[in-house]
Amino acid sequence: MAEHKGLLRQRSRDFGIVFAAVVLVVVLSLSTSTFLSVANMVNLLDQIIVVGILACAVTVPMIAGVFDLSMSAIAALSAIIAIHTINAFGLPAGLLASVGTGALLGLFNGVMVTYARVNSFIATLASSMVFVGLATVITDGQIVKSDDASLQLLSRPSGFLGITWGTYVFIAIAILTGILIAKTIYGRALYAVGGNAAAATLSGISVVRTHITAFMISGALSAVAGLVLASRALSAQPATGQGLEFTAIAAAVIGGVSLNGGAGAIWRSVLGVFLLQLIGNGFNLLGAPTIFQKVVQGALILFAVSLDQFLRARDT
Amino acid sequence: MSDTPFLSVRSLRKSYARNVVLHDVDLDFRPGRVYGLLGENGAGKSTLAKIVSGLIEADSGTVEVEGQARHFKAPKDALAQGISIITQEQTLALDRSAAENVFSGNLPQRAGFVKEKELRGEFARVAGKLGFSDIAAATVVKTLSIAKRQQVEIMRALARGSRLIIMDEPTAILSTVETQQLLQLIRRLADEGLVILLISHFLEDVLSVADDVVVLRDGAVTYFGPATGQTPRSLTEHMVGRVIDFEHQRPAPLSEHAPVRLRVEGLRRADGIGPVSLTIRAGEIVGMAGLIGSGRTEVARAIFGADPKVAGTVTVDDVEIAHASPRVSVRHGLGMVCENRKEQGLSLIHSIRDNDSIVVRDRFARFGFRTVRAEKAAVRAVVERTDVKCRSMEQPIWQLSGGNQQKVLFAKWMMAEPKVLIVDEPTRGVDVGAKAQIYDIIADLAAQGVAILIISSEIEEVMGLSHRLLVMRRGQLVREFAWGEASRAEVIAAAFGDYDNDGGSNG
Repeated sequence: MAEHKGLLRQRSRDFGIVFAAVVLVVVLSLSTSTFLSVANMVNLLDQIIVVGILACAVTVPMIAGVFDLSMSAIAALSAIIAIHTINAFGLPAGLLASVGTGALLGLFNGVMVTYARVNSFIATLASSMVFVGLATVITDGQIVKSDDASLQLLSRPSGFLGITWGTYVFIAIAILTGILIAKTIYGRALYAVGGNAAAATLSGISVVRTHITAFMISGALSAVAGLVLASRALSAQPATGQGLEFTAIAAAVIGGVSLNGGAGAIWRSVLGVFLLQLIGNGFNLLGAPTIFQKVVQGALILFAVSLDQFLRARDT
Repeated sequence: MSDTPFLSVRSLRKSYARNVVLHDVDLDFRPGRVYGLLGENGAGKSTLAKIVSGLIEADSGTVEVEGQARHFKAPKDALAQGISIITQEQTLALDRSAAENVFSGNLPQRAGFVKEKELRGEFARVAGKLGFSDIAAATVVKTLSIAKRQQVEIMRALARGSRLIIMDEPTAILSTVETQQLLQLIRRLADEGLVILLISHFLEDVLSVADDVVVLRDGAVTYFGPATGQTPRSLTEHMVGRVIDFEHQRPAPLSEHAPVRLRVEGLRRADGIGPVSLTIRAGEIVGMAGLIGSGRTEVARAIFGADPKVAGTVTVDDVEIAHASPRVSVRHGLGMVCENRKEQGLSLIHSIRDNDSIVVRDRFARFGFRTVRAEKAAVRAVVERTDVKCRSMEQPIWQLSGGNQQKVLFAKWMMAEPKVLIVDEPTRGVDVGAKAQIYDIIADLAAQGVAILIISSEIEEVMGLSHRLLVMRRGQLVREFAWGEASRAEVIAAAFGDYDNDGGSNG
């Protein structure tokens, strides 16, 4: 019946986002002399690292049909614990403590959503308040500084074209989560649970386990984002990264990760991050009033979600 | 009976892409008559109903109401002409009262405030006219049974002044008693001058109430005439162009030495269903009949581990399943084709391939990474074996017809190569052709030594397919018949049991 139309719609969805990104790149290249410069590119990449990592992180639970709104809270709390550990036991222990804390906080989210049956939106919104609160208690509301300057390595340029080490971490995370979602049986479970949790259960998939691990992954990756932020300032505080999870979720949605679960991909989220950042970059380079930047980005999110709903309208 | 048709359609045509779903359809519907609208899934019934009720627009042709050509752009246009539709998916506001639902859109009001007393009075008037004495105006719809909700929908149609009501598979969700009540109501409505268009897969229901029958096949009318003189067999012939003999079906003979594959002992649930004990041997098909609400599905879910049990054991091939969950059951060789494929069976946005291979996903992976080539080959084989009609196995489920979706659900469990397969309502909402194929699949699986438990509300279906037929009532197994031992009436009597004595069914 509507097969051909369906296929065409799918394709237009796939290419729409790519097309939009290409158009922006071309327009910016032609209208500014600085856009294509190495310095601007390196700058652009460095700017997307944190949101990029968070966007990859949130894609995992989103495909399984749940949200994680506690990512910046996890980033802050785990970065604070990391710096305390670095100051006490050195850098390697600190990095481990950071990622471990992130995974543990993700586990807490997962347990709340599965066993305690709290809607993921509310559960992670509430847990983010708990996490930021804990961070404030630990730091007494102060900034914690790292004694070990080697943490700064993440935001230093590498030998190649001056790209920062943090950029490589982001690229590695994008590739690894991309493979995890698209190529492994764990990824299949994510899609199956997001597509129809009841059907997944009857097919022998543990929804509880899938959701808990998804939250642990987004927690651990949020901690990495927190490390990148901490490395820039060589410090952390309860407000570190505040609000970035919303930008990350918006980027994922712009790229075409479904709000209803069961559909999406890492490349979509990464492209969404690029698109949002290109708009910001364009505003700067063109000397346009930056006050309108938020308006354009917000409008893009509305447009993307509306387009998604329109294209997904089933003709059954 | 009047001679001027209330509604006529002329040369109605509709196609999707290159697929023609309605071919120059001409029909007249006269007041005071019940019309049965029959056809396999995909024959064009729903498309016709949707055009007439304004949900979709035809490519060409006209819709005339009382001789006047009308163009329906939206359901409200059809409603304004007195045409309403009651679909399978009920469209009530579940948290609001029955009265608010019935009069939604034209609540009696003053200055924006609802006049509650008048609303109750109006509701009582409509309810009285239909003989629905047991629904109170203030009852929240959520608390009503499916059958009662349907009555609310019918009241709403009448309150809107409908003169033609389309009912799409209204009896599919009803028990036998409720079905009889609905059919009587349909008759009464027609006697009062309404036109009723009844879409149904249940040929007996249609024949018992319809004055005329419209049969569609591949978008064209193959029969339009009086219902008298037609039989389920002749109607099936119009629908599929061939006849499938359900009555003379007989399960393959079962070896006396076939080992017991499934043994259920003393199974009880927290909701009071049980204790249930049963055994099924390799290659045996055991049917389970009973009224809706007698606990058939609940027992099946408890056996499969989808719901918890409070007592009893489930043993597959002499291995007891401990810590039951669907995950554990699947590992022990149990499978379950559940009763509602859209809610619990399939992921509609995902492809045939993803759905079919999900149970055995570990088989198509090495070190946790997917091996797509082997998966494609295996799915292709099972799609061919079950004869799923699709563009490719990458097609999403929501694009398939009900019958094809059901075949995909079967294929998913066939891939798991289960030792025991529970099938719950395997042919619900499935057309005649696909039904026959599903019966073949079930028989095939049994021939390979799978023990099969089949639950169905269609008594002939379970009677014809099963070596043994178990009858459930009030959460317990009350009778067992061997194949050919019981008549339909005896099975129904066993299912109803003490119905007359305590004045209510248990469903």
